[in-house]
Amino acid sequence: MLKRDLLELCLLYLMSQGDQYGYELLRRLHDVFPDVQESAIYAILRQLCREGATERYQGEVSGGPARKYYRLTQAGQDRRDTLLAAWREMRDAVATLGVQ
Amino acid sequence: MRGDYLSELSRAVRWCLPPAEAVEVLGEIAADRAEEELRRELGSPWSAARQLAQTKAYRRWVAVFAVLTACILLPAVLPLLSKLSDIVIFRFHTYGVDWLWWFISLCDKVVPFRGGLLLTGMALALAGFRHGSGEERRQPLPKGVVPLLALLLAGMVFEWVIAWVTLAMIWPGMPSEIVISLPLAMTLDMFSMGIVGIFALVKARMADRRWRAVYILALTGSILGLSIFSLWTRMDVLFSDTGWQTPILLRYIAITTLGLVGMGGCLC
Repeated sequence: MLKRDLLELCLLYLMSQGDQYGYELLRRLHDVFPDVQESAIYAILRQLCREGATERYQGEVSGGPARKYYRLTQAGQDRRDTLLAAWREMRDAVATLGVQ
Repeated sequence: MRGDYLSELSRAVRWCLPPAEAVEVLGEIAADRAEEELRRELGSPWSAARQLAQTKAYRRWVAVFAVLTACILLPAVLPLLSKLSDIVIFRFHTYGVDWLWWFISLCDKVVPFRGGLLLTGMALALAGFRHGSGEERRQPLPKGVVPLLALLLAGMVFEWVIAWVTLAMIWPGMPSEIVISLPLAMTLDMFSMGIVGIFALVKARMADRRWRAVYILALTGSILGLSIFSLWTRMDVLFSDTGWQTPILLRYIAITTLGLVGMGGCLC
């Protein structure tokens, strides 16, 4: 599992907790991974959208610019489960070596 | 400063991404954010834009740009280099500048491919640019398109005057200074067209795809100029034959018509 997959998993996981708008997703992930630039995270988010793992819609707002929200699709949920399984397997494998 | 960074980011994103995507990305990542924050979180505008672009699509665009640039620069630059080399060789031949013949022969080698360059350039310019937001057609033409089209048309009229001087065999009765300077003036005209064409290409990607009309007219002007230039320099035309002008004239008319139709298509 590469760092990119890990970022992808985190994005999908955050979206499975509820629809979120792009900037909010970028901020939350960038707070956890400060060494990764927002443009790189945003590129992954767009990639997920192109692959059909997520979809965007225009959120309703009262005043201010309209925000684009992201939500998980069925394909996205499957992808998240696959990545999550891979992540747990890797974490367990590393733990058997005593790495905490 | 915010303006500077945002302008640079906007330029980079518009270059690396297709127009509709660029507008969307800029709206989503850059709206309502402070200059310092953008600089810190996104880093260099160009590296951020490269990260946001799809590698395949970006490479495809760079390849299209390279081919379109070659299509216009070869006919626009080589005749000027050839003409300048010609002048330098005969004035400074004692200084060992014979290697400049290479430019002259290179220009001659490109001439047979002018039809291919025109068709490739036009086809790619018409097909290689994606639609923008869909609002373009309803908006007035971008500032600068009409004056540049008018300038290019004036340049093409000048080329047609030279074609007429050549085909109607007027040049033998003209002063030699004018006869010598006409091809040089035309090569400068073609060189300017090449520069305008490249500028239009960049604007077509970054601002409005209707700039392609300027590119196509500049390409047509360069190809027409190359054809006329080759008539001045080649030695295989038998000027004594009756009707030798007809096939040449038809070729010039075909090039001009094709260019004008292509230009019109891009503006519609």
